[in-house]
Amino acid sequence: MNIIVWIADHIAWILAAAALLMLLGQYFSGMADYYLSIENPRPLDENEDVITSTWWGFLTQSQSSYTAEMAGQGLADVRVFATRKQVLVSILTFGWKRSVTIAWRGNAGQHPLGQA
Amino acid sequence: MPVEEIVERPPRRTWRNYHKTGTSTLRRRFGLRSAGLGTGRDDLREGAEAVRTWLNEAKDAGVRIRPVGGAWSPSNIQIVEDGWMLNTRRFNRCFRLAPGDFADPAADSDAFLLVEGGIQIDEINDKLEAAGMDRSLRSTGASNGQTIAGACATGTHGSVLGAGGIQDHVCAVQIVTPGGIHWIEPSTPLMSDAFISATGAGQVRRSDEAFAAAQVAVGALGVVTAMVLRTRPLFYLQAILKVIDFRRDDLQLLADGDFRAFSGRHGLPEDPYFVMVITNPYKPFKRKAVVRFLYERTDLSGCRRVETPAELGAGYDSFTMLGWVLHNLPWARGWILQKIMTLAVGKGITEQDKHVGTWGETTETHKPLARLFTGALFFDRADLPRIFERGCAAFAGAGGATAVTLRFMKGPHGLLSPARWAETAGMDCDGPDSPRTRTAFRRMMAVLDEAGIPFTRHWGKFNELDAERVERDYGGDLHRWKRVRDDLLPAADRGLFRTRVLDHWGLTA
Repeated sequence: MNIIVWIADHIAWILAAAALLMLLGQYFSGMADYYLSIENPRPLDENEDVITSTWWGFLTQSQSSYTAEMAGQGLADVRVFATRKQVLVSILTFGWKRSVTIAWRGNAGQHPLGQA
Repeated sequence: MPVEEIVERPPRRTWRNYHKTGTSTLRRRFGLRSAGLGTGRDDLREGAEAVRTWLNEAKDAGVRIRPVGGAWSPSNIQIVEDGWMLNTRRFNRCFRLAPGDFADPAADSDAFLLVEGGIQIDEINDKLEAAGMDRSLRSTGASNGQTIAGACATGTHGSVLGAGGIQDHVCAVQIVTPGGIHWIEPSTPLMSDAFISATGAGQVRRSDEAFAAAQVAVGALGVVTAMVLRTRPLFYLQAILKVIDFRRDDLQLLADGDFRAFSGRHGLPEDPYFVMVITNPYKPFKRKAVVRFLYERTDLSGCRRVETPAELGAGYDSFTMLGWVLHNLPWARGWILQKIMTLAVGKGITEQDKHVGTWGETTETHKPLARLFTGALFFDRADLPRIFERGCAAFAGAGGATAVTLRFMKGPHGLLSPARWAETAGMDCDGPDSPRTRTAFRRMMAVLDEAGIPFTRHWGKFNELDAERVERDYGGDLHRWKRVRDDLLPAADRGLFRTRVLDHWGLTA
C-alpha cells in the first residue's frame, strides 16, 4: 500500500520525469544516421542539402539543387540525419520547425572490361 | 570531351574531402570522363590529351590545380586553395592487354591489367575476380574506396606478409604534365613502343629511378592518368577473427617475423598470408586484443564461400560510431575500447567456420558515418617492441581514443614509400576523431623521436609532416625523387601543382 501512496503523492514528478526521458530519447534518436546504398557503389563527391519543415510538417521546403556530373548514373548512396543543433531546435520549438540533412553521392558508373 | 566543367546549382565555392578534414576554395571544378567504349589506348590518348590541354589552360590562367579521386586522405593532400579541381572518378575503365602490346611478345599478358587513374580499388577487384579473368590483386588497404592513382600516391598499405604497399602492383605509369604525356616504366622495357605511342605518350622514360619516383608520386609529379598493374592468379583466403590475450612474447614473435608461431598460438598451425592485430593502448598486455588472420587456400572442400565481406572480417571500424562516448568519458576509455572491440567481433570467425573468399571480398567500402581519425607510423619490424610499448603509453597517457593496430608488409617500393624497411611494421591509430586524440598522436610521435627510434609517417593520414621532417625521413631518396620531378616538371610548370600541404612538406620547392 505504501508504494501506491507514494506514487499518488509523487505522480506529477513521475510524469515530469517520464516526459523528460521521452524528450531525451527523442534528442538522441533524432540524431540517428540512416544510410542507404546501391550495391557496389562508385561514389563521386558528397553533397549535402538541409531540408526544413515548419508548422509541424505542413510546410516543407523542397530543394532543387543539381549536379551535372550525376547525369545518367543516379545515386550511389544517401544518408539522412539531423545534427545536434537541428534536433535541439526541433525540440525547443515543440516540433514547429524540423530540419534534416540529406547527404548524397552520385554514382560514377561502371564500364565493362575493355581491350587495350 | 573527356574534361568538362561540373555545373552545379547553386555553384559550389567550397569543397570538402571525404573525411571532412580539409576544405578547398574553388574557382572552378572539372570532371574527367572515360570517353566511351573504344580501345584502351584510344581512351587513354583522348583522356591524356584533354588533361594536357586543361593543364595548359590552367597555366595560362595562372591558377593552381589538383586532381582528386576518392578524396580519401585526411592529410589534406587533395586540398587546393583558390584553384581548379579535376575529379577523376569517372575516368575509370580497365582493359585487358594482348601479347603484342608488350615489348616482349612472349610476356604473359594475362598477368597484367591496364587501368585508368580514376578507377576505384573495388572496381579493380571486381573486374579481376570476375569469371573469365580469374585474377587478383595481392594486397590492398582495408577499405577499397580509394582510386588507384590516389592510393599509390600515398603508399597505401595492407598487412599481407609477402607484399608491399599497393604501389607494389604497378609496372608502368602514364603521367600528364603541361609539357607532355609521359610513359614511365623500369629500365627493362615492359610495353612496346607502338603501344605506348598509341596511348598518346610522346615521352618515354625507361628508368628505374624515374619509375621508383612515380610509384609513390605524392600528387606532385603531374596528373596520373593510367597504370599497368601486375596481378596474380585468383586465390582464396580463409579468415579467422577472434579476441585473444595479447602478451609481450606475442609481440616478440611478431617482431621476429615468426608469424607461423604466432598463428599456431592464436590461429592455425601454418604460415598466414595476412596478420593484423588490433590492440587496446590502455594496458595492452592486460586487456584483450583482436587478431585477424587470412590463410591462402586452393582446396575449398569443406569450406563455405562467404556472401558478404563482413563474413571475412572486413569493415571492422565500429569505433567511429562511438566517438562521442570515448571523448566525453575520458576516465573510462580503456574499458569502453575493450567493450567495443569485443562486441564488434562478437563470436568472431573461428577455425571451424572455414569461411573463404577472394582478396576483393576481404575488403569493404567504408561508409561515411562519423568523423574518423587515422594516423599511421612505419618502422623496422625489429623495433616493434620498443615502439609499441612507448607509443601506447604515450598515446593512452595523453588521452588518445582509438585502438592501435599492428600491420606488416615488405618494403620499399618507391623512393617515397613510407614502408622503407625490407621488413616493415606499421602501427595505425584508427578511430573517432577528437582534438584530444590528435594531441595524443602528436605526443606518441614526440616520444618516439625522443627515444631516437626511426619511423616514417603515412602521406595520406594525419601526420604533422613538414619539410624538415620529410628531409630527415627520406634523405637521399628525396633528392633522387626531386631530380625526377624536375625532369618531369620544369620550374615554370611546377607552380601549377603547388598546394599549402605539398609546399609545407617541401615537395614543390
